Amino acid sequence: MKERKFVMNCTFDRIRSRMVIVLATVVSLALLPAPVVGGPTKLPPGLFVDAAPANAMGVGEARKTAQEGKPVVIRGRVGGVAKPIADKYAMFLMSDMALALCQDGCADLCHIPREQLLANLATVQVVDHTGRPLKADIQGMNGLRPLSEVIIQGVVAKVDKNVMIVNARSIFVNRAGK
Amino acid sequence: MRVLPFDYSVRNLGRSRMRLVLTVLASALVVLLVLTAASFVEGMAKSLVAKTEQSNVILLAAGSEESLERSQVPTSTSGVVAASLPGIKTRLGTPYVSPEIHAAILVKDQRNSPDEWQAVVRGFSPQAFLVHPRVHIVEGRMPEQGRDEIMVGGLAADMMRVPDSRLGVGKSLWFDNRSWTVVGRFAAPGSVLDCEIWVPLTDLQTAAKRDTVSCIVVTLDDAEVADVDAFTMQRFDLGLTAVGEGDYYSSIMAFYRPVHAMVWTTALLIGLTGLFGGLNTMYAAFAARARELGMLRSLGFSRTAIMLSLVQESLLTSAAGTLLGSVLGMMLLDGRAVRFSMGVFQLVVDYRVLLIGAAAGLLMGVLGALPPAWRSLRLPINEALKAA
Repeated sequence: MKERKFVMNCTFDRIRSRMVIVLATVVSLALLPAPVVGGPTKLPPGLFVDAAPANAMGVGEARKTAQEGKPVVIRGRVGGVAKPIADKYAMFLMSDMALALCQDGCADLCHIPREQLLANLATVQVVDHTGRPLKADIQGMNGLRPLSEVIIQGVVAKVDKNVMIVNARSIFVNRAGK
Repeated sequence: MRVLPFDYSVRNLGRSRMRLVLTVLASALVVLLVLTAASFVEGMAKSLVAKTEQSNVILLAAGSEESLERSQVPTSTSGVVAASLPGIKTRLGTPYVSPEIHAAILVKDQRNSPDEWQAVVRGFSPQAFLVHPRVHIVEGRMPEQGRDEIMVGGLAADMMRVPDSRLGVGKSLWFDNRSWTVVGRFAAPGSVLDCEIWVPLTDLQTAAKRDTVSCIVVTLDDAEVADVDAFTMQRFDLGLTAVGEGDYYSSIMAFYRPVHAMVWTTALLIGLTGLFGGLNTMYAAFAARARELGMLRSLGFSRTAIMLSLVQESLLTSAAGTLLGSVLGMMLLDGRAVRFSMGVFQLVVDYRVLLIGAAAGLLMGVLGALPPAWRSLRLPINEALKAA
């Protein structure tokens, strides 16, 4: 009888120790960071700079003089539409600093006539080595928010009478003023 | 613990038939009210959110994100979108891109008719059937362009508050200074589309003297809303903004949240009134049985056993009321059309709504019995036996 009880106790101990191992494994696996499959890409290091690049021109002026493939430094304000910073893409719209802000502080500059607004807007995007826009959230990075004043150093990807797209190499966010 | 037999509770119900009938009816009414509130919220949610196409994106004019009716997008933009936006679903080379006009207009019976009805009109092109696969023609045919023809949804008559036969195939309506003939009926069950009148896009543009559309609806294949959002940013000259169809209708749903809260509060208040009324009845009913309860205790039944039996009685009554209320709810509420600013939705009495009603009814049965039962059982046995 005692022998049987001893055998049963050993079996229970074995089962218990195995359960502890299984539980420990499950907990460890659960605590491990989940593998990222097709998740957001990181922004390139050094994208945000602390010093304002020199010789920046306004967006409106750049729209008139910029040429595709040429470097450009533009200064403006994140805005032009209600939600000027894209979701999940490192991309935003910027408008010329000369455009007056709305009294209610909206980013879409709704009081500016459409033609005037379009002539003073540019799309800023951060691209990967293939030239495609990076899938990465840029909102809030280094203080980048709607209506932030920014200076972009980059290359003109496209410019015509309708649009201007700049591939940013560096972004300076002026945290001192809006 | 020795419990009282179940048939003791059942037989007790027949002691006062009038009280039983009234209690059952009161429970049924409360359950019906809870079902009305739940079916209202469920119906609106299903028509606005659950039945939208999750892969659809609505491209609106920037600045008109909150109102499709106010949005104005040049008609030619749909061609630009179809040609430039990657990741759009296609079928046999036709992209799922549907330019549409959404308008709320007043419709007349005839030119000089004094009667005017509010109607929701959608200007559509054949691609609309691609992006709205729920829509299918159930009678007649699709309207042909340039012939002042229209087709109407299954709930359009409810929206306009006219008999369904008034919008039958062959009938005509007067709006935008011309008569339009109904040549088809369509159904889009459970969605807001079902209450609309569909007019060929160019006919509506001509009639309304506009060269714009309200929005462009696209169905995505391997793209996502963020891709469309990025496209609108790169082509800011098009003046578009992208909103997921589900998000658009969810925002409308959020707008109605205070209404839902009011509906639930009303249901709760009336439910509480029913509960307090029930408590009052039960106090009187159990107090009148003090001697009987004292006798049961002198026979050796514990307070808990007697309380269990009293709760059983109450639960049986409320369960009968719940059943009656649920049957009435399914018969009277399910599918009933309710008008709201976006159109019409149908009340939905599904298993979830029924479960909410049943839970409310049974909870009322338990809560309504416990305090009076406890009060009656607190009396010492000798006092209970001497009670009048």
